[in-house]
Amino acid sequence: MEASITFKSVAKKIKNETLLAELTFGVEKNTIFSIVGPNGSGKSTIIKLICGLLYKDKGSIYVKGYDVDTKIDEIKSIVGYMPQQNHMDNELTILENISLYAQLHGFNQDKAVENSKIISEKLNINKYLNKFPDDLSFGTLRMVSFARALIHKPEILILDEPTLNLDPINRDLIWNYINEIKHERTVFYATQNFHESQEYSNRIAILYGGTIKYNGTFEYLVKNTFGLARFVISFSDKIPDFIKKNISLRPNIIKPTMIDNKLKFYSTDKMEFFKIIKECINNDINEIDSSKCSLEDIFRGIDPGDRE
Amino acid sequence: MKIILTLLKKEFIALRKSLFIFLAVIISFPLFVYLLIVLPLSMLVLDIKPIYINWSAAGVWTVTGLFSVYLYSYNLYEKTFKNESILVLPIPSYYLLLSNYLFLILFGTFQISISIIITSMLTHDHVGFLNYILILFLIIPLIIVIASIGLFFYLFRGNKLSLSLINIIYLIVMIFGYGSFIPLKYFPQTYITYIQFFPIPGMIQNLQNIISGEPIMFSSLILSLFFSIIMLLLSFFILDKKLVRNI
Repeated sequence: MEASITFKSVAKKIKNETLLAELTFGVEKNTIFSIVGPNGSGKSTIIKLICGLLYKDKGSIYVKGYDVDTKIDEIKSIVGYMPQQNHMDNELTILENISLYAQLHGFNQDKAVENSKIISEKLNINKYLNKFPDDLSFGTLRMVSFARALIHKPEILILDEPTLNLDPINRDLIWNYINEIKHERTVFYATQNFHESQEYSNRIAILYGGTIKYNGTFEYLVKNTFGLARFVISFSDKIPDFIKKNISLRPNIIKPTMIDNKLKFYSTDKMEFFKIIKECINNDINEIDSSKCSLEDIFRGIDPGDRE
Repeated sequence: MKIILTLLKKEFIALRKSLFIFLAVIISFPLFVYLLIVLPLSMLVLDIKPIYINWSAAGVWTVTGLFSVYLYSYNLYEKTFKNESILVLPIPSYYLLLSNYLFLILFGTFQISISIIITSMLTHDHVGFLNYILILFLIIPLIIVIASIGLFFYLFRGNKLSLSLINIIYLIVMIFGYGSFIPLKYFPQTYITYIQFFPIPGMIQNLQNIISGEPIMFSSLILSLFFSIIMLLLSFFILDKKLVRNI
């Protein structure tokens, strides 16, 4: 498969602290690739490196074969970027905010206005076209920002937290649009929304400690957890003391949490779950639940590096 | 060229939203300077030929034009270089700075033209067309110098209080330190020696010479052209490292 974006041993320091170290990964053409990671892990920095908004300290970055060091203008012409902040021109109407950017991408005025109206209708923001950004909510401006990233029909879409603070209807509009174009565009996005990442991405990368710990399909990630599952036991009264005392000593139980009368833990061994139920049989168990790990569970519960 | 025109168009459209206030400020700025500085000082500075009120018109033009450019430049740089959506546009980064400078030159020229019209009406000393062109020709290099100073202060990015204090100090320097309203001969000799190496006082003196019908000093013109070129080169030199790839 042809690569749209390639990182080779990229390193970046911010204020003398290493944020990204030896970062290597590739994004295939016409795929939806999401990157998740803790706050401050460097997701936005990766995006800014791709878009030429930051210099890297080491390594190489290629976008559709163009080197960011030498061909940044070519890269910018094939990339549509939606920043984490909306960055609207407050003195321009929404229509001008979209169409003037289209003109700056080389469209003539008529075509720019026409395209802006078409995309606004698709994203259901056409009723705001004559309003100023000051009059609109953050969520609506997020949709405008998305429209602006798409206006020149870029080959590669780079989105930084695209659905941040959006209601479910607008979130669906964005994902429906991305689903429509996914066979002819590459979409690379950073998010904290694990459900969306799991649901819509062809590939997911987990950024942790400055490097990519996992990179693959969701199924691959789950497989790499060796059948990791989440277990919940709810007691009618409180969690028995003997469980509280020795749960953390059991080697096959990962990240146990005890909140009120609810015991939650992860394990690759189902027998651990049954053992605890057996031990607690004389205590009043209210409810039990076991389920396969979600992306959020993988991210939340485990240091991904421990399992490879 | 089309891209630069679109960037300029974007800035002009942006003015439309608060056009009334914008025009009111542009017109009232020279009026206030005339009322609060020129008129009182005309009672104190009596040894200026032909008369102080006419002579100080050069100061009104320069202070209003250059200070407006200085203040507006910060706003313009912030709108341009903090906006990631602009920075990822597939246009050479120097276009962004060039369009900002061009807009500031047009804006400064407009403010100076308004100031010239106002002082002409108040002093009944009309500026002829050729002198008007000459005045603009002399002031444009200074606009570039001031736009660059604005850029360097923008890069300094101190807190808002320090920035406001810097602006106030700079306004005081422009009004009182460059010989705009108080003739430089009243300043200590050491100050005069040092200030002559800066382009603005010499250029103000040239404008005062135009009003008095005296020849202009080419050394001041060359100095301001030299400064404007150096500042321009410096701005373009730091552009990528400090402005575009520094988000």
